[in-house]
Parts: sequence; structure tokens; C-alpha cells
Amino acid sequence: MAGLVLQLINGVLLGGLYALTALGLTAQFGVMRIVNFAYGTLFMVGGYAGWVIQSTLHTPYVLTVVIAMAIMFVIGTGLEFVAFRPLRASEERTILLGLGIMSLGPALIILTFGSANQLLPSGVTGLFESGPIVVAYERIATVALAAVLILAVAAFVKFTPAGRAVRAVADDPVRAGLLGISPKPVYNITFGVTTALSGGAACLLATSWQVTPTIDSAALLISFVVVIVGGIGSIAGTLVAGVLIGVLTTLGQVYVSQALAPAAPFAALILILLLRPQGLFGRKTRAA
Amino acid sequence: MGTSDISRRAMLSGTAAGSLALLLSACTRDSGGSTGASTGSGNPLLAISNGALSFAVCLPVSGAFTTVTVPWAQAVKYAADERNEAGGLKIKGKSYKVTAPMIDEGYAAAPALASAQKFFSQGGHYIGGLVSEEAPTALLGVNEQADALISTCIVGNPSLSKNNLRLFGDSLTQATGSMRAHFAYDELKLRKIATIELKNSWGASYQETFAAAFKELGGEIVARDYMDVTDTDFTARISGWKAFSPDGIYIIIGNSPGITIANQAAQLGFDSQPFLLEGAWDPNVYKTTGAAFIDRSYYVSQYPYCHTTSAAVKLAQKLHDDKNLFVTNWFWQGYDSTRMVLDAMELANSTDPRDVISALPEAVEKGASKWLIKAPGAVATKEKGVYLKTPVWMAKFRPLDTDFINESPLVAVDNAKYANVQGWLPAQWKGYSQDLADVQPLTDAELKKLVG
Repeated sequence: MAGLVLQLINGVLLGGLYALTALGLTAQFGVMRIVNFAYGTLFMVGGYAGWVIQSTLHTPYVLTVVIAMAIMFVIGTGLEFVAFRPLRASEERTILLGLGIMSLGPALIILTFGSANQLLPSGVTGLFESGPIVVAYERIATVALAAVLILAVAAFVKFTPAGRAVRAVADDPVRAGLLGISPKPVYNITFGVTTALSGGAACLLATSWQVTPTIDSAALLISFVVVIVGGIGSIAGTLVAGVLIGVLTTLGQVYVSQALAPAAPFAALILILLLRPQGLFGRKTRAA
Repeated sequence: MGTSDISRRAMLSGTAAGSLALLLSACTRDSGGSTGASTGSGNPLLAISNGALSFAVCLPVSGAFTTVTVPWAQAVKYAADERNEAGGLKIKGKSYKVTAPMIDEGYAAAPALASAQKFFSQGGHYIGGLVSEEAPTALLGVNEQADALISTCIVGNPSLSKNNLRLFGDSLTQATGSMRAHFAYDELKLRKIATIELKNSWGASYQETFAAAFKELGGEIVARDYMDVTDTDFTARISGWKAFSPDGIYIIIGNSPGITIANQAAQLGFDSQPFLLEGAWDPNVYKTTGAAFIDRSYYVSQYPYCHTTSAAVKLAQKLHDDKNLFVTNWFWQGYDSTRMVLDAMELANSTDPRDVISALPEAVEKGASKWLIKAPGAVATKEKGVYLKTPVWMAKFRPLDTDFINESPLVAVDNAKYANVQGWLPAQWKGYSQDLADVQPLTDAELKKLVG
């Protein structure tokens, strides 16, 4: 029983990190309606940004994450302006653009930094131990930071005027435009913020997963699964789906089969697509 | 935030399209040629094309293992360059240039097979490398159909099936389990070990031979876990070990994934247990875990990775100048095995791989003094290829402030029992399922030829 409790805790903590990883992707789709295959690459770049900052400036961990997110915000807004915005009219072209960035990203990272793993230590050490239950304080701290970021985004969207503008554009960009809310800056800021979130997630995960030139595909895959299971564009859905996928993967590894466990998220994805295609928290809509 | 059904459809179809593109990309990488299997013709210039012999290196060209594979490819290139500087490959009174093109293994069966078949169809007959267990398994038989000799070092049980056009250039996974178990039990005084292995036959071979020997000594494997090279989070697996209180951890994967496991183990309180390690380890990678990891890690390796020689320093310097990388254990296998095959070609006076494989044991023995890995000879089996007699040493990583060019990355442990141990399949291995009774162990006279 204690073992099950331990693995449930592991699953929930892992799921919290999955949720943060996927949050930017769901927000990009929810607001901008783009399928961004470059998301994993930007996540990876965020992790490397954190590592470069910490290893060169020797900044404290939290400051490192904040600076990395700021850099990724700039990169995100710039990328939206020069690349995604001109192609917005065509969903296929934005997909191809994302795939192109996804293909180039790891090669450029290897050329620049090599393929060695890079660790981003948080400085948090020690363990919570109670019988067989053992959880690293570092994991608790990073999930707590992830929760803060998720709540901050939710609060921003729900309670601030800027958040209302984002929701208006997400709901109907034409109507929002008629009300005086220009979608273009909203798209730009949204892409910047979500890219910053992906960078923040990468820095949090780099304390344990480390940053590697192959981390992008892992982040992209898990993000897509979480977003679709949770319901495209839903922050609450992303949170619930992240935890669900984290728990499923963890329990699958320990109690079912380590060979089959990596398939657990995709099994959940298939089930959701069959039983509730709009996702756990998605809205069922009809095509016009 | 709102969505529309059209957009959701776009999202889902985009996901499907992207996945399909990735799948197609993986399946078609380097797959430009037909199978192109040529037949063994006895033509002495079988492998020569446009006045040059290609000794391809089939290794992953991207991903987590390039700090290992790039040095390895360079090692083959250096061996080829040396031969060219010495006047080229001399066959039947003529000299030929040796080239070392790199083809992508992709760390998987399908891309390795596609790359190899393309190479064969273009007249290639020599391949070194193959860092994954899946790649040589995929090439089983195909290489013989195409008269292609493969020099490899990754050996799980499937790789030991019938196939005579292969040179096993490194210690075998099945050969060192007993040595490692004795070291763990007798020297480190370990009694309960948790293992985590790469989920393939290479990992299984290491784990099972070690576990059998360790249990025979009285030790216990308290947990056996599995991993994939793309795994990133091992928390569930490692935290589960806590209930068993292992006093040692055996990580059967090298470099980046191995470092991630070691790091997460330390985060979960396994911060004093010794690590036994497999795979290849590069100082660029293991420095990220710091001194605590290095101080308690043990690794079985070949001579030049744990002993400094002037020839090794020269090559390490060259690699660092060319690629800003350090040598790894497998660098030496690539370098020496290529030189051995080229020597065997000249000895056989032929580039036909079937002639060359026959000449290999004699060529290795004749050149024993020049091999950096100190192989005194090789064993030709009846139908399972040639096995290099590669001695190995139990060693520890040197500190991070080491000059990894002028010093070897490892230092051998100070115990003669774990030095100069035969690293190939011992014929006396009881219970080993492969029928390799024709493999003979190293004789005392041969051992004396080695550096003590």
C-alpha cells in the first residue's frame, strides 16, 4: 500500500511538470489556433538558455528561470512576428514552418553546445522520507514553482484586462476586432508568453531530466498528448490531463510493464479520442 | 479559451500529419538504394571502387550519443588516413586509397539497415561502428549476402548467431560479468544491488551474466529495472528501490541516459552507493554529475582508456584539435579494428571480405605490438566470425580537473585480479547458451605478451 502511495505521489508530481510543459501549447492553440510543431524545440532552447545563464553568470536558480523566461519571451514574440504571422492565413504552412524548426533545432543545438547532457541544479537538496515513501525536495520545489506559474497564467487570463482581451480574441478574433481589440498584438504577446512558459518548464525539468538535444521530441510528444486529452485550449484540462498522464505512466512502469509503460499516454489518447474526442475539458462544437 | 471544430480538426490532422512525417522520415532516412547485394566473386578487388576502398562507419550522426559516435568515426578516419599517408592499401602490387564515409545508423534497426543496404549497393563492403544492439541484429545475414565485413563492438546474444563476416572488436557483454561480480562482492563488499538496463538484448546480456555470477557469490539482485534511451524520468523506478536498501547500483547504459539515471538516483538519496557502469562514457558528459559521481563509479575498459601511452596521447590531441571532443572507450576499438582489417587485406592480398576474415587472426597476431588495445590475437570461430582477444581492466574515472588529453580518462584499480582480464567470450562459461565451444581462452603465454 505504501508503495502505491509513493508511486501516486511520484505520478502526481510528474504530472504537474507535464501540465506546465503542455500549458504553452494549449494556450497557443486556444488563442491563436496554430499547431506549433516548433514547441518542443523552443522548450529545448529555453532549457539551454537557463543552462547558459547559470553556468556563465552563476545566478541563483529562480533568477535563472526568470531570465530564461524573459529571453524566451523575446524569442517567442520575434518568431511570431517574422515567421508565424506572415503564414497565419494557412494552417498547412504554419505546420510546415513548425516542422522545419523542429527538424533544424537539435542539429543547431548540437553544433552550438555539443550533445552532452547539461544539468541545471536548483540548489535544493534533501529528501522527504516517511517509511518507504521518499520524495526529493527538489522535485517538490520544482512542482511548486510549476504550480505557481500555472496559477499565474490562469489568474492572468481570468482576472486581468489583458487576460479578458486574450479570451475575447480566442473566442472570436473578428468580433474582438470590432470591439477595438486588435488580434495581432494579442497573438504576438500570447506567443511570447507561451514560449516563455515552455522555457520555464524546461528549466524546471532540467534539474532532473537535464537538458539534451533530444529533449525536444519528448516535450513535444507529451505536450500534444496532454493537450488533446485535456481538451484543446483548456488550462484546467491541461492540468488534469497532465496529472492523469503522469500517474498512468508511473503506475504503468511500476505495476504493469516497463516495456508497455511508455505507451500508456498514447493509450489514454486513443481512449479519449474514441470516447470523448473534444477531450476531458474541451467544448463540443459543430462545424459551420 | 475557445476553439472551433475546424480548428480542432486541424490540430488533430496536423498531429497526425506531423507524426506521419516523422515516421516517414525515420523509415526513409538514407534509403536511396536498392538492396544491391553483390555476390562473392573471389575478385581480389571486390571492394575497390574508383581506386579507393570505402571503410564506412555506421553510427548515429545525431542525438544523445554523438559525443561517443563522432570520436568513433574519427578513429576510423584516422586509421584510414594513416594508411593513406603510408602509401595506401597495397593489394596485388597496386596501392589504393582508403576512405571512411559516415553513414547513419540512427540508433535503430530500420535506419541502420537502410543505410547499410545503400552502402552495399554502391559497392561498399566494410562497415565499422554500430553503437546500438538493434543495428547489428538488423544486419544479420544481409551483410553476408552482400559480402560485407562488419566490425562491431556491441554484442548481445542475438549478435552471436551464425554470421562469419564479422569482427567483434571489443570485450563482449557476456564475458565480464564474473569479473564485475567478484569486484562488487569481494572488493566493494556489496551484497544487494539494484540494476537498471537498456531494454534490449545488450542490456539483458550484461545484467544476466552479472546477476548469475553475483548470486553465485552470495549476493542478491534486489531490483531489476529497464529503460529506453529516450526516457527522461526514472523517479518511479529509482524510488521503488528504497524499500530494498541496495548497497550498490548497476547502470547498464552509458553517457547521457546513464548520467540522468545517476543524477536522479543521487537526488533520491542514493548518494553513497557505488555505481557499476556500462556503455561508453565521455568526460564531457560525466563532468555534469560532479565529483560525487566520479568517486564512486567503476567501469570495465580497454587498455588505452585507462593507461596513458604516447600514441594514445597523440590521437587524443588530434581528436580534440579536430572536433573539440575527448576519446571514449570505443574510440580505440574503432581505431585498432580498422587497422587490423586493413592489415588483413594486405596479408590476404585481397579485398574480398571472405579472404580478409580468414586472414584476420594472423594479421592481428603479427601486429600485436602496435595495437593500442593490447590484443595479442584473435579467434576465428567456425561460423560466428572473428573475436578479438581484448583484455580489460576494472577502472575508476579520473577527477574532473584531469587533463583528459595527456591523461587517460580512467585509472585502473590497484588490484592485479582485475587487470588484464580476458574480455572475450570464455569457452569455459558454464550454462552459456550459445554454442561457441570452438572459442579458446587466452593462454598463459599470450597473457605474458600483454602489458602487465
